[in-house]
Amino acid sequence: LSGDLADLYQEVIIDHGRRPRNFGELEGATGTAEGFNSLCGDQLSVYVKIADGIIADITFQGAGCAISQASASLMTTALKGKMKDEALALFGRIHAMLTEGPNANVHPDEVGKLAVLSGVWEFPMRVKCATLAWHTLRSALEAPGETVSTE
Amino acid sequence: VSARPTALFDPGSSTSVGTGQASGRTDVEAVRAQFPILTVRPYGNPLAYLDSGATSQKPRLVIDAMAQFFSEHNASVRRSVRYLAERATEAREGALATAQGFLNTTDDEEIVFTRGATKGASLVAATYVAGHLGEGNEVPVTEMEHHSKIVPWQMLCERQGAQLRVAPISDADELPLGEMSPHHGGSDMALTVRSEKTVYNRPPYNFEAGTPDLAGAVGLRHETLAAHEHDVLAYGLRSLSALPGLRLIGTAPATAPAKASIVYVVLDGAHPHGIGTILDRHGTLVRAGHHCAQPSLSRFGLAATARASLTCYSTRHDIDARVGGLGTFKEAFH
Repeated sequence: LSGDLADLYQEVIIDHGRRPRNFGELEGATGTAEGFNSLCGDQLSVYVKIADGIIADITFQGAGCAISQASASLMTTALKGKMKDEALALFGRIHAMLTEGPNANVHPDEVGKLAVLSGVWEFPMRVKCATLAWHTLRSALEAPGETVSTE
Repeated sequence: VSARPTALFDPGSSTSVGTGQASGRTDVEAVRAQFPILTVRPYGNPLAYLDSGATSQKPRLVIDAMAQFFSEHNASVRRSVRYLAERATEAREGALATAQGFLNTTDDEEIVFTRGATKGASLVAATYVAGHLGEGNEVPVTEMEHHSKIVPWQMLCERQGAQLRVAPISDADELPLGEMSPHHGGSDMALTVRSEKTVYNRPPYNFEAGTPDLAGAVGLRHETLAAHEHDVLAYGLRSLSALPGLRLIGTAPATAPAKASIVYVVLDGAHPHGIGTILDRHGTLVRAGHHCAQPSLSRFGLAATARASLTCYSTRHDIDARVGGLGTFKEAFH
């Protein structure tokens, strides 16, 4: 792969897409939400366990493309141990990076490993694949039990 | 309206697609030359358009007929004595004659122009069938339907207490196996409207409320293309089934009766969206996803497939491009 495609399918994304981390239901979850991408039929659930305002544990489960699986997987690894508010702030930065690209002025340091998702911006049809897990997370944190859609 | 454009596929001429299989590739090239969009080069690559099942491309003569309609005749049909409305009405009658020739009908009341097939299916459900359906009745659909052919019947059955019955399809994706009342209120469907009672117009006008896709009707042109599609389909099935790790969904052979020129594939562990994106950047446009046929995909235990749909301008080159793109995909992901 070369050019935009190489930016999209970075090694880390292919790896997380193939072997998603923190995959499965979470016993004792305090919040959960289900997300659908009606465009492609992708579906995933996010489970969070909040203790003292901290995300003590977070998992996800579902079926989708490499981008959506990798985005969810990377999200769970980035958020474990983070404050709920920090998670929501990161949601904002990731969302801006995915939808506005370089115009969002999100510095790579502000998103850590999740910077590998920055190439998705070049593929407007695929942005929703990457944002699905994050919208579902927000719902799990703010309105548990809700079903979200990328539409 | 005007002199009829020359036929896209003249069965008697040497550029016919129907005889093209015997005389070689030049014939399909002559057909392709009539589709301006096929010269577009996505990301600098030649275009292999394999999504005609979702939206078919239009040849120059259809584009010209529609452009001529919009440029010279566009008006509300059958609704005025103005010059343009008369031209639009003539255009509608001309389109009717074309459709009658295609469908081999002679009765003016048998053809209704709608905005599209989805609207047409809803119209039949909400009018003819609604008037005849009640408790104890069943509406048969099949497992292979598009959502637009399931949802209107589901809604109707719910409303009228009837049962929706789903006919199963085989692993090969084969199916082991027609009076209406006005529907959409609007101009031209009624003869007189008073607040207490409306007297309806005669068919088909009572079903063509509002402004139908008249330019679309004017653009109708047709010819038999089955032989060409079949050739490319058979080639596609052969080349794709040779790819390791690839599974064809719907294993009926190209020779099966009523086999559509569509090839659905899934690739070992890979999501069709990745396939769609990578092929796209190489100029090969396929459809990835559930194709608005989720019940059918569940039947095969799938959420999504990558789909190539073929038509008159599809070539073996398009198939080769797809096979090549799938190779690139496999390299990147394995």
